Amino acid sequence: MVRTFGPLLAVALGSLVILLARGNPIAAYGALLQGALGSVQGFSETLAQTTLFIFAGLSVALAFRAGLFNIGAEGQLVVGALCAAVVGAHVHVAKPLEVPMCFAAGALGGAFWGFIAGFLRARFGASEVITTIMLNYIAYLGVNYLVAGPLRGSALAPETPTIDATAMLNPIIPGTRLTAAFPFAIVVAVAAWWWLKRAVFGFELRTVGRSERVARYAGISVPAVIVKTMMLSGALAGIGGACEVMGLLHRFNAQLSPGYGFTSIAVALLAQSNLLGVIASASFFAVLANGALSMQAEALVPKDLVSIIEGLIILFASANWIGAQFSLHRGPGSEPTDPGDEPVAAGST
Amino acid sequence: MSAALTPAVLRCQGITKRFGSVLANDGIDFDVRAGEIHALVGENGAGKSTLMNVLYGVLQPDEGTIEINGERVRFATCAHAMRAGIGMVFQHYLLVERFSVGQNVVLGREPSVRGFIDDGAAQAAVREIAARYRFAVDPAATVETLGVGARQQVELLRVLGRDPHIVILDEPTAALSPAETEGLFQVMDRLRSDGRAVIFITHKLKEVMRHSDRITVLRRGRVVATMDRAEADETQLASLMIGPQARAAQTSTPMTRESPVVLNVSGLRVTRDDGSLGVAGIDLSCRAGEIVGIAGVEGNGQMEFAEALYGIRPSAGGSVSLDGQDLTHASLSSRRRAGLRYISADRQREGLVLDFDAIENALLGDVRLSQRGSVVDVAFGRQRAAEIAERFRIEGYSSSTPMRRYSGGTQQKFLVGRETSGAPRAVIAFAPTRGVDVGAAFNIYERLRQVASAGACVVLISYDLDELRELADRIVVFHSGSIAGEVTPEHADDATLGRLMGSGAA
Amino acid sequence: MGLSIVLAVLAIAVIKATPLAYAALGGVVSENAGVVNIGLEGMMAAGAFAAVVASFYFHSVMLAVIAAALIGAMFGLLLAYLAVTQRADQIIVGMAINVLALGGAAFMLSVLFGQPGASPEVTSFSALGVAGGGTASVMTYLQRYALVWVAIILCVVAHVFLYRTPVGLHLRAVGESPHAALTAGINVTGYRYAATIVGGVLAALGGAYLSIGEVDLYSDGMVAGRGFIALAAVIFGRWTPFGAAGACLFFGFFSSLQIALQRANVPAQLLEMLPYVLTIVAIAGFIGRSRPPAADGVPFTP
Repeated sequence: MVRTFGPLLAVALGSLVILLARGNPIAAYGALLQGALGSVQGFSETLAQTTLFIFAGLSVALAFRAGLFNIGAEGQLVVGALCAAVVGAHVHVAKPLEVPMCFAAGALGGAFWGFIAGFLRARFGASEVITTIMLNYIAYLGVNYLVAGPLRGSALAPETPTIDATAMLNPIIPGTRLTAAFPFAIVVAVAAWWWLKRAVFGFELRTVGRSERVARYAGISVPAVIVKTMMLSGALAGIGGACEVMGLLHRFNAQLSPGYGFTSIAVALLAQSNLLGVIASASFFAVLANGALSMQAEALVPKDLVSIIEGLIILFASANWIGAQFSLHRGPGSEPTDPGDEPVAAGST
Repeated sequence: MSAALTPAVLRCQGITKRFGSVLANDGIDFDVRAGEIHALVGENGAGKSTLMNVLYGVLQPDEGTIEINGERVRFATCAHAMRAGIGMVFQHYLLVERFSVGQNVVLGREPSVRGFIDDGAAQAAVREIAARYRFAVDPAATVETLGVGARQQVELLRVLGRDPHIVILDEPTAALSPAETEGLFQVMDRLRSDGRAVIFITHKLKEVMRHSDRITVLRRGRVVATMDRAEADETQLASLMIGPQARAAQTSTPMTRESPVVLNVSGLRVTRDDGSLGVAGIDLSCRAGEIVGIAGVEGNGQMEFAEALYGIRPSAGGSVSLDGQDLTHASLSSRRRAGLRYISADRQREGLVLDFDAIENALLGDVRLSQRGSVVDVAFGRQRAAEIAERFRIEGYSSSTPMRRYSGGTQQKFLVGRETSGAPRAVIAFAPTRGVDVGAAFNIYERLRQVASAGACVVLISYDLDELRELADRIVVFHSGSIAGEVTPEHADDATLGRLMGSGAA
Repeated sequence: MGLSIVLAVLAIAVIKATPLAYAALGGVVSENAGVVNIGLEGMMAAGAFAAVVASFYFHSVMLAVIAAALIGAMFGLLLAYLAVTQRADQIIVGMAINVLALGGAAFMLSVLFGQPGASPEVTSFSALGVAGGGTASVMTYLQRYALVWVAIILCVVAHVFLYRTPVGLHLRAVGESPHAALTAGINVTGYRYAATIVGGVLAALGGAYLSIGEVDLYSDGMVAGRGFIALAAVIFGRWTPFGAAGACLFFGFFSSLQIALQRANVPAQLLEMLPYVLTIVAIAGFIGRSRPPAADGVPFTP
C-alpha cells in the first residue's frame, strides 16, 4: 500500500509540515502547481527541468537494475557538462556535427567519472555508495578549480567561454528554455528501456542485479558488467549535463546543478527502477522543483519543503526493497548475502 | 526399558503451522518421555524441522498446544523454550564463526566478574562439559577454523551446557563420517541414560532402527504412525514415509571400455579461500556414456573440485580437458561453449534467477551462444523452455511466470533441464536432488541417464549414498582432497564406503 | 620551535577528528549489531541544527547537547524501525534520512530564523570558561573542549564494552550470526534497536560539536560529507572503536595539513579535495583484507 501511495502520503505529510511552519498548505501547493504548470513559461520550464531529471534518473535506475547504488549522478553530470562546454567552445566542426559531438563529449566525460567508481568496485570491492559520493565532492571542487583557472573563459566570472552557436540547442517555444533536449530525453528513456529488456548486455546487467552468484555460474563476467554499467550510468548523467550546457546555460558555471544529486535517487526509486517509469517520475519531481520557487515567493513557504517531500518519498520507497539488495561491504569476489526464501532456522523442511 | 511407563515430559497436540498456502504441520500429536530416544522420520518437506522450530519457540503454531510435564506452555521466543528445559541442536549449526569455542558455548550465560566476562571461568566450564561427553575441543580455538565434526561438538556443548531435560537433534548425522556418527550415538545413549528425553530427527532409517526407542513418521505435515521400535521394520517405515509410489527399475546403457574419454582431469590441485589445499592432485577420466559418482563426507574437497572443474575457481595445478581440448585456463564461458555444464545443489543462489520467467532462465548461461546480433534470441529461449517443461511434465507451465512461483522440485527440474539441453558433452551434477521430492528426483535421474546414453559423461557428486548407488557406473571416494578409492556399485555397501569416506583407508 | 608546530598540527588533527569520531563510533556500534547506517551525514546535520536551536532558545550548551542527542535518538529509532522491523533496505533508508535531515534543517532555518543559509550566532562551547591564565585556564580548556574529551573517553568505553562485557558479546553475536544469538536466548531485535539508536545519538553529538563546539552557528552544507567520511573510517578501522578512531585521527591529520598548506599557495579546492580522495584510497586499499560483521546490513528473518 505504501508503494502505490508513497508520493501522495509524502505530499500529505508535507502539508503537515507546512502547517507546523504556520503556512497554508492549500495556498502553498496551489502556488507550486500554478508556478510549475500554470503558464507557458512555467510549464516549459518544468519540461526543461524534467529533461535533466530524466537523464539523472535513468542513470541511477540503470545502476539499480545491476544492483549498483550510483549516488554519483551529480558528479557525473557535472563532469559531462564541463566536457560538453569545453568541446562546444573550443572545438569547431561542421554544423551538423557540432551538437552530436558535444553530446558525445558529455557522455564520455560522465562515463569516465562513472568508470572510476565502477573500476574501484570491480577491482577492489570498494563500495560504490561511498566512492560515488566522494567523487561528487571531488568533481564539484575540481570543476570549480578548473573553471576559475585553466579553463576560464571570461574575466568577469568563473565560467567557460560561451559555446559555439552551432552547438547550442535552440528553444522550441520562443522565449522559453524548452529545447529539443526534452524529446531527446524521452527517446533516450524509451531506447534504454528497450535495450535493457532485449539486448544481451541488458540481460547480463539484469542478471547481475538479481544475483551476482547466479551470473557468475552462468558465465557472465561480473566485474565487466559492473564497470560497463557504471560507465553507461555515468554517460547518461553526462548527457544530461551536456543538455544543460547546450540548451540552457551555453557555458559551464556554478549555476549548473544546484544539488540535484539526491533527487536523481528519488526519481529512480519512485519509478521503481523502471526506465520508462522514470519519465513520469522525473516529471513529478520537476513539478516540485520548479514550483518550489513560486511557492516560496507567493506562499512564503521555504522551497526546502521539496527536499522534505523527496526524503519522505525515498523513505516510503525503502520499504519495497526488502533485503540486502545493496551491500555496503564486499570484498573482491565475495558474495552478496541473498536472503533465500526459506528461513534458515527451519532447516531443510 | 521402563521408559514406556513414564509419563510424557513433552507433549504437543494438534500443532498446525502454515507458511502462506503451504501447510507445513497439520494437526500433529507428538510426545516424548524421559529416558527415551524418540525418532522423528520423514522425507524432506515432511514438516519435521517446522515442528521442532515450533517446539523450540522459533516459530509460533497457528493452532495446537504444548505441554511440559503436564503444564500447558507457550513459547514466544527461544529464551522461553530454553528456560523450560528444551535444548535444540540445529541441522545447520548456529555458531558465530568469528568467536571462539568458549564464547559460543557460553553465549547468553557468560560467567562474569564485576560486569566483565570471566574468560577463565568460561573456558573451565567448557572443558568440564567436554570431558563429560568425551569431546576433545580447545575452548580458545576460533570456530571458523574447525571442521564439521568439531563444529557439531561445539554446537552440542552449547546446548548441553544448559542442562536441558529435553534435547532435540535435527538431522545430526547429515554431514558426519561413519566414525563421527558412532561418536554421536554414544552421546545420545549417554543422554538417555541420564534420564533426558531425546528427539532425534532424521531420514536415515538404518540409524533409526539401531538407536531409537520409539518412532514417529511424518508425511506431508501429518503424523502417519507412531510405534515402538520393536514393532517397526525398515521397509515398512520407508513406505510410510514415501507413501504409495512406484519406483520403476532403471537400466542404464552399459558403458564399455572402448568408449572414448570425454572428460580428463589430471593432477588437479585446488586451493581454498583460506589458502589451504582443498584438492591435492586428482586424476579422473570419464568416458562417453559413463556416470561417475563421487562420494565423500561434506568438506573433503568435492566442492572445490566441482568449482575448479566448472571454472568458478581457478586451479592451482594440473589440467582439465574436454574432448581433447585443454580447458585448464579457459574461462567459465569458454568451458560452457565447449560443452561443459553444471547442475547446482543451490538452485536459488547459483542456478536460477527466481524473478526471471522461464524463457530468461532457459537462456541463462547460453545467452551469448544463442544471441542474434547483440539482441537476446527470445524465440530460442521460449522453445527451449517449452521443451524442458514438456520433458519434465511440469504442470501449470507458463513461459511468462516468474520461476519463483513454481515449487522447489519443479525449479530444480527446470535447472536440470536447462543444463542438459543443447547436447552437452560433460555435466557436473552436484547434489542434484538435494531438497527435492521423490517424484522430481526420479525425473532428474531419468534425465541424467538420458544424457549419458546420448554420449556425454556425467560427474555426479552426492552426499546421498543411495543416489550414487542408483545412478553411478562407478563410485570414487574423496577424502582430504584425494581419491581414497574406487568401487563399483555392487561393492558399494555402507561399510566399505564408510571406511573410505571416514579414514581414507580401504 | 619545530615541536610546537608539530603539537599544533596534532592538536588541530584531534579537533578535526572529533566530529568524525563521534559519527564513526556510532557507525561501529550499529554495524557490529548488523545495521548499516548510511544516514550518519543526516544525523550529524540534525544534531548540529538541533544544538543551535536549543542554544538559541535556552542559551545553554548543556541543553543544546541534550537536544542533539534526542534528535539523534529519534532518527536512530526511525532507522531501527525501518531496518529491523520493516526489514527495508538499510542503504535507502539511510539516504532518506540524509535528505530529510538536510532538507528539514534548511527548511527550519528559514522558518525559525527567517534567514536562509545560516543561523544567527548562538551560545557555544567557546563561550565557556574564563579568559586569562592560571589554574582557571585548565578548567577553561577542559570545558571548551569537553566534547573532545568525551569522545576520547567514549572510544575507550566502546572498546571495553564490545570486547569485555557480556552485553557487548551479545551485540556482536547479533551482528555476526543473529540466528546463533536468537537460539542462545538473546533478543536480537532489542539489541539492534538499541545499537542503532545509540549510533544515532553519537552521530548527532558529532554534529553538535560542529555547530557549537568548533563554531557557534549552523549553516547549510556545514557537514560537508563528514558523515560519509566517518563511514569510510568505520571500514578503514575494521569495525572496531580504536580502529575507527585511529582512522578519524588520520583524516583529521590531513585536514590539519590542509590548513598549513594553504599558506603554500596550493589552490584551495585541490586541498579541500584531500579528505575525499583519501577516503577513496582508504576504501580501495583495505576492503578485502578485513570482513565486516557477517550479518551486517542483512535484515533478520527468524
